[in-house]
Order: sequence, then structure tokens, then C-alpha cells
Amino acid sequence: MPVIFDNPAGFWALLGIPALLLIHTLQARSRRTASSTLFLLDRLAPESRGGWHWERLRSSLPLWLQLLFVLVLAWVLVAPRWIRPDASQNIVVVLDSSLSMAASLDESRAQLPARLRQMESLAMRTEWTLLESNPRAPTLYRGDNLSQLSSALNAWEPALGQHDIVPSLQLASSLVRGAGAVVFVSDHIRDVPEGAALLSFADPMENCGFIGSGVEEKDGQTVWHALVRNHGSATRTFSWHLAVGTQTSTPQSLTLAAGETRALQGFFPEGTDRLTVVLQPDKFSLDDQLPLLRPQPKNLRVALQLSGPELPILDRVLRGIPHLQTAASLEQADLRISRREPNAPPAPPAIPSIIFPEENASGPALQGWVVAEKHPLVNDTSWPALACTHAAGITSQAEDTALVWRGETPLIFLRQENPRPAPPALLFNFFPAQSNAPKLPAFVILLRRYIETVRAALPGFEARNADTHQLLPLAFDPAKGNLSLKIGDTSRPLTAAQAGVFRAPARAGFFQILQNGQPLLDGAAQFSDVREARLTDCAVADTLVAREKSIVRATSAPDPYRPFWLGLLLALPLLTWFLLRRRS
Amino acid sequence: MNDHAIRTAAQTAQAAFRLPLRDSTWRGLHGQFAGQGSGSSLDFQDHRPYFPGDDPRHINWQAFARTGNYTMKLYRQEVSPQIDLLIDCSPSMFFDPAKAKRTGELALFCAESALRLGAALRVHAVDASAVRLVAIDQLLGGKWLPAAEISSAAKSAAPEKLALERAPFRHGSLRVLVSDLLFPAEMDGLRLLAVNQGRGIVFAPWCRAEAEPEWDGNHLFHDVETGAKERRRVTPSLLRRYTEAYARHFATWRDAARRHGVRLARLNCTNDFTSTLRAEALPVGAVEPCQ
Repeated sequence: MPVIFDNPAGFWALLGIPALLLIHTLQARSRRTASSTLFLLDRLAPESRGGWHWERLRSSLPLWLQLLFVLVLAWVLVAPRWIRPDASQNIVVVLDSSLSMAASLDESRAQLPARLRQMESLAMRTEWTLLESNPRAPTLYRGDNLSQLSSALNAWEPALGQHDIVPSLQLASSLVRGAGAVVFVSDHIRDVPEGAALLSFADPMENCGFIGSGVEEKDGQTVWHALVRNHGSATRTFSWHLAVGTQTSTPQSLTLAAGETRALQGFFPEGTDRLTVVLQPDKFSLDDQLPLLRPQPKNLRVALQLSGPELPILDRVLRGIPHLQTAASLEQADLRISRREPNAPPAPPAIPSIIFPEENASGPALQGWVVAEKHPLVNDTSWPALACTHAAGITSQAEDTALVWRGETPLIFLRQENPRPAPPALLFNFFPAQSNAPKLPAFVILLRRYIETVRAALPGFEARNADTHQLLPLAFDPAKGNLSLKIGDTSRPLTAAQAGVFRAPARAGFFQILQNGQPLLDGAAQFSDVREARLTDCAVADTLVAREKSIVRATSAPDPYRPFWLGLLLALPLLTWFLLRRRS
Repeated sequence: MNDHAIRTAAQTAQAAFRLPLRDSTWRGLHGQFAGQGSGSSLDFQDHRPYFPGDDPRHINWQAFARTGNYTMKLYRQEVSPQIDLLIDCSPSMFFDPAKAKRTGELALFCAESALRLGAALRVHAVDASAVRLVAIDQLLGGKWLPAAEISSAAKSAAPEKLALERAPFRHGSLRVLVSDLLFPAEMDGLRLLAVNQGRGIVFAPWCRAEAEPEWDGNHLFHDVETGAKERRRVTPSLLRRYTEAYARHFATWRDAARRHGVRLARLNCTNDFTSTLRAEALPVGAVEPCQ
């Protein structure tokens, strides 16, 4: 039966062996001895004279007894346990999917298998499960072969920003039956649920990287901006350069103090739609490259069929929105802004609409507080300051989605007039011109958000910069062919369902969505998650010891001879003492 | 030192053994032991022709009747032998309590045995530098040992042989030396015990601490003879060679004793005195049974 040691620290007791040998090598203090035969001793060649502090180690029974005592003491202290032949355990390893793990992935790949091999020795059979904390990710490995688990670990790469790890750890806990443990592998000290252990192999690291970017048109030229931040704790000097295709600019030096952020900017070279700003590589490479595209938004054609006091308001709002065109005719429009009886069926064509009430409409006096629903169009906007006294008398229907209420009356709501996936119409149940809505940022924001929603749902080519892993729902015409995602030289098909929840790649770089071979979206994914880039908080951790102890107790039996060893521990000093006393 | 125990042991030993005076002839005053010449004892010794001046009481008249010649009948002379008792008073004789006791027992045994046999006894304390006469009363009273120890206070630089050449040995005397012989052995070291028709007996007490010392490791040796101090590391190898040297030392003394006809008895200090005499002195003729 294999033996394991419940308290490996007990092996420190073996240091007593060299200590004992050292003590026995030290020359003992001279004993005073009267002699009448020293003249006989004088004739013999002296082997060792006084004054030497060291001497050759001499074998003696007390020495061997003392060495045996140290050995037995070490054996008792390490608390050996014998693994039962039928002992098995379940170990579920959960990898932290946070992108910061990329910086210490090499260390994790190198050290985690060795640490797990130690755990493997706690039972005769170990069932391994390798998960990642991304709850949507599939199981990476399940089986009893640690080498295959290591292979799965080597093929894995983190892909998420900050996220909740608890669901994956709860799932992992449910997979542990009998003896076993949940091991969460991260690079930071994280709070893990009871019963789970934390492993981290990452030391604090310095890191400089991009934290944001922007592209704007200025004086007829396209200007890019990039923010570079030193996330570390020390001043750092590094170089950066531009890469356009296969050409690179002259590297320039940049010195940033700890925590300092510096803005870089430049023009897009003539005839170039994409470039990459490259920093000198460091341990965390995800934020060392900033791919940038010359944005090319979809143009939105608006049919403004509005008169009355709301017209200047809408005109002012629309003029502030780029890439917006006035449609030559209603048939060519992508968005209609009109005034009509809302309960009447919409006139063709079936396009999204912003609908204001008829000028002669009237409704009841409004009472109560103005509150906004939780909806992407009104989230994080303030509506309580909206002052409107009377509603327009529009009756909301059951399937309508109210956005803003006053009292019991919906003031703004959405109505699905056209079949999905066409965006719903935005209806106003009050007269903005008779309220202070034009002065409210929330009102302008609502209009802009709605217009951008309509633009996003509009099929057509677009070039844009996006954050890594940013949700980019694709608007496309299924009748025009299949979609595919192209990153670098690799391409893979996209289903319609995947296109609806498409996210930018997790790694910074250029990508392209093609439909039937024609580009639908040119994208540049940029890493900008500051939380993941701060690596000075990384720390090495290992809280497995407590879990290992409980596993050991479940899979092994204690040494049956422990009472004998304890008795021997008592007897050996007494015997040594007796021998030394007799000799003295 | 327990003087009473010494006296008791010596008296017990005297009941069983005495100095060996009967196996030889002696010179001295009238006594009870055979002399070297003819005397007036009852033991017939020889015949010889008559010379004028001879005691006519010893003329063998029967022989004159047969031969017509005067023949003298000679009888063995009976004398009181002369015993010179020398006691080694060097510090080595007293550094071990058992050895000191045995030394005292030997001195008392020899002195009382000599007196009991009617010998003319002289006692000398001897060391490396001098020989001093010790009054017999002082010896029998047990007062000599402290004096001897005091006399040995003057240490020499190295152990030296006893100053036997200064001992006033009497002609034809029995020389009894009580010494541990712990000084460099010489083949002629005991010659003086046998010169001038003397005979020698050596009682050499020894103790286990000398013959089989349990030295191990570092020792600060204090030489009881010289007073010198010496730090030494005693290994099993050194101890083995020491015991071999010790054995060779006394083998040399035995050879020297054999060469000069001296009886050498080494007496251990562990057993009781009588048993030790029986086991170690009687076989070599250093004592004889009283019966």
C-alpha cells in the first residue's frame, strides 16, 4: 500500500541527524583523570592532542540510539498514513477565464500538473474534471488521465473579462462526490466558496498597455487617439511604433511613471483604412497591440414627416448625429419621423418610426412621479425632471413596452408595428414642445439611442472599432447568403443564431464578417479592460493543504504501529541516558 | 584510609600465610630458622674431622670407637633472618584508594609476619630520591602512611626509578619490596635485591584503573608522580596500544625478577587481601602457608 504523510513538515525533524553528527564531531570536554601510568602513554604516538575542537566521528551505541530516536521522531511527526486499495477521489479543476490569466498562463501550465500530481498520490484512483469559470464554455477534460488534462490545459486560453466565478464553482462542487476537491486556478487572491481551494502561480507583474482609443475626422483627415497606461508600480520606459500592413514606423520611446496615462495620436496614412499601434511586448501581450480601423458607419436615411413645434427640436437632434441623411422619398427611408394617430395601422413602407401625437390630440392631466423603466434606451438617464402636464391621450396596448411613466400613464413606449427583427416604433404620449423635454439630456439621449438601434438593425456594410468580446449583433439579410467570420487567414462559418449574439474576438486584432463572400463588417477588436490589465495584484496562493488533509483522512488509514513508535520514543532517550551515565 | 580495615585484613592474612623463610638458609642471630652455618640445633647436618678448639660435646664417640679418629658431629645452625622491608612511597601507590589500602595491607602484613617469625626487621620508605628509615612502632601504629605521602610531595619532572641503591641492605637479608613498579622497567632494576647473598621478594599491587583503564575521548591527565597535566584524546586504538605497553612493562619486570632470582608477585587491589595472596603470591613463592 502506498504511504502518504499527513504532516510533511515533520521531515524537518531529520535535520536533527546532521545536528547530532555535528555535535558528536565536536570534541567533548576533557575529563580530569588522575593517572600513574602516563609515562606509558607518552611512549605512544598521540593521535589527537588537546586544542582541537573537531574530531573524527566515532561510532558509539549512544550515537546510534540518538540517530534512531531522530528517525523515529520524524516518522511519528510526519504521521504516515496508508492509502486504502479502494480509495478514489474526484478533483474538479476550474480555470479562471479572466484575461489576466494570460500573463501567467505559462506558469500555470508548468506548475499546475505537478501540483495536481501531488494530489493524485492521495488516492489509488483519481477522476479529473477540467472546467473554466466561463459558465458557457464546455468541459475541457473529464477522465482519469492527468497527462490528457495537461494537454487540455495547454490548449486552453482565457477569454473573459471580469465575471462571476461562483456559478462555475457551484457547478464544480456538484460534480465532487465522496472524497475530492474543487480547485480554482486563478492569478489573484479570490474569495472562493466553502469547500473550494484556490491555487495561483502568478507573481505580481508590471504591465503597460492600451486602455482606450478613438478615431475622429478632423480637418478632412482621420485622426486616431490611443491611451497608454502604466499599470505597474514603477516608472517604465518602452518603445512604440505603427504597423501598416507589412511596414512599420520608427520606434519611439515613451516613459510612463507608475499609474500614469499618456495619450498618443496620429493621422491615418493616405489610402490606408487600418493600422496597428504596437507597444514593446511585455508579459501581458493582450494590450500591447491596438488595431484601428477608419470607421465607416452605415448611413441612415431619415424621412422627417413632421410639422409643428416639435420639428425644430427633432431637426436640432438629427443634425448632431453623424452619418444621417434625409431620404429623398419615403420608399428610400430607413427611419420615419412623423405625427399620426398611433392606434391607426402604420402606412407602408414597414420601417421603424418615431411617432409624435397629432397636434389636436388631447389627454388627461398627468399626476404622479416621472419614472423610467429598466430598458437599454433609457438606462442611466434621468427623467424625474420632465415637466409635462397633459398626456396626448394615446392608449397603450398590452404588448407595448413602456419606457417612461408619469403616475399610471405611459409617456414614452415602444410598439412592435412591423414584424421582427425590425425595431419597434418609438411613441411619445405627450407633446415635447409643451414640456421641458428638449432641455433634458435624457430626451436627446433617448432619441439618439433609438436612431442608433435602428441603424444597427439596418443590413449593410460597416467598418468599426470595437472592444474585445463586445456584443455586436449583426444585421443582415438571410436571403443574401451565409455568413462567415474571418480572423487573419482563418475563416469559420456563422449561423444566424450566432450572428444575433456575435461578439468581437477575445484577442485584439482585425476581423471580418463576410456574407456570401462580400464584406458585411470590418472590425478591429481592441483590448481595453483596465481591470484585467492591472497585474500588480497578482499573488501566489495555495489553499489546497486543508482540502488535502480531508482527502487523506477519507482515503487512507493511520499507521497501526504508532503506539509502538511512541513507546520507542520514550524508551530510546532513557536507554541513551542510562548508557551515558554508566559510561561517565 | 580505614586503618582498622587494613589491620584486620593483614591479621587475617597472617593466619594463613607468612613470608617464605623456610625454604632457604639465613644469616643472623640465634633464632628458629636454618642458618647458613652449623649450629646447635637438633637437626643433624654433617660430619667433619675434629680440630682443636672444637666443642668436645659434639665429638662423635661412636665413630671414634669404630675408627679411632675424632670426628665432629655437626648440627644445623638456627638463626633469626634479617628482613629489609622497603615500601615504595611514591604517589602512585596511594592515588587510588584501593591501591593505597592494598599497600598498607602489604606493609603491615610483611612487617608483622617478619616480627612474628622473629626476624630482624628494618623498614625503609623509599622513593625516587631517598630512602628513609621508618620506625617499626610507627609502621605498626599506622602512622607511616601520611608521613610517606608527605614525603612524596616533591614532584619530579618524570617518573624515576626507586633509589634502591641507597637502601642499606644487610648481608644475606631477605629484601621485601612493596612497589607498583610504575617507573621505566630495566632488566637490572631488581639486581640490588639479590646482591650480597640477599634474596628478594617484590609485592607489586596493581589496580584495574591502571591495567584496564576505561579511558574514552578527551582526558585531562594528571600525572600523580610528576604533577604534570596533559590533555589527550584517547581513541580505542590508543587504548589498545596502552594496554599492550602496560603488559610489556610488567613482562620486562618479570624477566628482570627471573634473572636475579627475585620473586615477583603482582597483587590486584580488588579482591580481599588473603584471597589475593593465595591466588597471586603463593604460586610464585612470595608467601608460604603457615602450616
